[in-house]
Amino acid sequence: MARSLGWRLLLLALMGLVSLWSLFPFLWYFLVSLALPGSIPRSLSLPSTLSLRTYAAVLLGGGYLEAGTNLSILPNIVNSLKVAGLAVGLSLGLSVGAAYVFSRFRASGLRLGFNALLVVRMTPGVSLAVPIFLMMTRYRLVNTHIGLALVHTLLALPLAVWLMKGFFDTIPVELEEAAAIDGATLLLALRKVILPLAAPGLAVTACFVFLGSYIEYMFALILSRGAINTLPLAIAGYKSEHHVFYNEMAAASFLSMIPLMLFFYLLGRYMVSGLSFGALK
Amino acid sequence: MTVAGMGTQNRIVAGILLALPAAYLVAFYAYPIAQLAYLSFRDVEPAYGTNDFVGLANFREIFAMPGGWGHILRSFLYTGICVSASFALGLAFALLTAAAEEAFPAQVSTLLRLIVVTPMIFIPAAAGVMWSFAYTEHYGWVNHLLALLGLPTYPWLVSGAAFYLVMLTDIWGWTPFMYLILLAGLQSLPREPLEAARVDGAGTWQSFWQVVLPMLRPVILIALTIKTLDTYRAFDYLWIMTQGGPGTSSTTLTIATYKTAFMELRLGQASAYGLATMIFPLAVVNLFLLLQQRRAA
Repeated sequence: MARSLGWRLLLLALMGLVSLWSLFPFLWYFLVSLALPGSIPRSLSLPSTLSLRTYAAVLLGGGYLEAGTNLSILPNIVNSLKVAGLAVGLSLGLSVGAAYVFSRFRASGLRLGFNALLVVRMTPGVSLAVPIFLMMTRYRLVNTHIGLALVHTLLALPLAVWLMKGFFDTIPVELEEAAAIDGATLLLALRKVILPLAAPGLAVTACFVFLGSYIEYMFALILSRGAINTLPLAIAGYKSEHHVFYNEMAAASFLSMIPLMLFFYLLGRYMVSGLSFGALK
Repeated sequence: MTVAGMGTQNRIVAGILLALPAAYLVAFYAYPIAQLAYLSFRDVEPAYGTNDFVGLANFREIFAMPGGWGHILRSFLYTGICVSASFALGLAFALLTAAAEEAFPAQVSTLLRLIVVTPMIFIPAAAGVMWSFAYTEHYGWVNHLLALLGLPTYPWLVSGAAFYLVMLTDIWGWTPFMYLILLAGLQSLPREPLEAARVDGAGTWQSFWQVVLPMLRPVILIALTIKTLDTYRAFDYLWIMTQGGPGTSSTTLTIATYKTAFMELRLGQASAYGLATMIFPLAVVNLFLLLQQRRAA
């Protein structure tokens, strides 16, 4: 079907509008991240000096520092990695077996378990905030990486089970049948035959769990007393009642994009399946 | 399809594999929910050392007071506006991408995809502070722009518009979610019905309403359900941008629960709010499961 020049121009104009909506809000923030620490233009104009000094300060500390204030996000990156790493380990460890059972076995009880996961996923996190906070306090897990990771595991578990079940479903069951004929037990077949084949799927699931923990804000806010401040807390923490460091906030915000960019670049095609909890492939 | 034989031994192994996550969910989900229900009938304020049974008093504060209903209504207002706007924009952007795929070389639509998705690559907390900054009186681009046009400037996030400005951020941040799902849905549609409609002389507009939209229905339903429940419990933007203020003008059920628990330290009242917050999503999930069951039967 031939498309006229007018149609193409209209499309281009609309694409311009979409780009404006999507990208313009970043522009000012980006310029501020490139300005010298402590300087923000007081009108809509380019900063007087463009430099990467703020990025350096945010990553390495030093540079422009107010007495007693450390503006580096390095400790926060470490905290984020620790919490997300633990959450990935816990989530995958807990759910890989269950996902396999959901994929291979049929029983009415399993249906119930699967629905329970849906209920868990759709429960607002804030509803659990009080009892979880009390529990973490009782077991002295407030302000510990493992405490926050245990909560992030709860948020990730349903998605992890769904995604991995989807990946197991694509592996033909004949492989286990062959293994069974050769005398392998179910666990042995799972370990030696199925898991290696499902490894890419496990990696994709791990990435989803990682990012879910990486961007989580509310439970981090509730459970951190400073020692485990993750990146979202650090970014929001550049602004408090006593001070605002907008330049550093902007630089840290853009730096924090990197893992998400990598994820979209490498695993973009799994995104829809993850976003819809495996409902759409 | 099941594992051949399904011997008792395999069933035992399956049971063990399920027991682990089940135990975890009992400890970190079922037990907290039970405790939430227990606390919601009590007055628990650590600052005053109270821990007394108060019957339905906590629920009375939510359902018998205008303040409580205000939180409930704002939750639904926020959800309704954000979901419908990001759905409309996501669908429009997806259709535009599909049209660009036809009219231009592939790189153009790839670039468009990248541009549309960008807000989602930002950590929500970072998007929250970025938009807060945009609305500040002396430093933000919104007021700079207003000044440039000769209009008055204002710290918008302490105005009556604050709630709607947070919604705008939510719409901006989550349109990519709708976009990605709807675009995938559009691209997976079979080609033939559209071709047939064209042969029959249907215009672009007509074939969109009569052919594309009906075929897209299952995808739309999934996208709307997930987005509705996620938006209903939104916390990050609201907390970072307004903390429920000014006054309570942007306090939804989620924010009310959080504030009551961790600012006012009224844990019993907060538990009642937490329980009230769960009603809507659980109703939706059960409705969804019921519909699914009926379709299967």
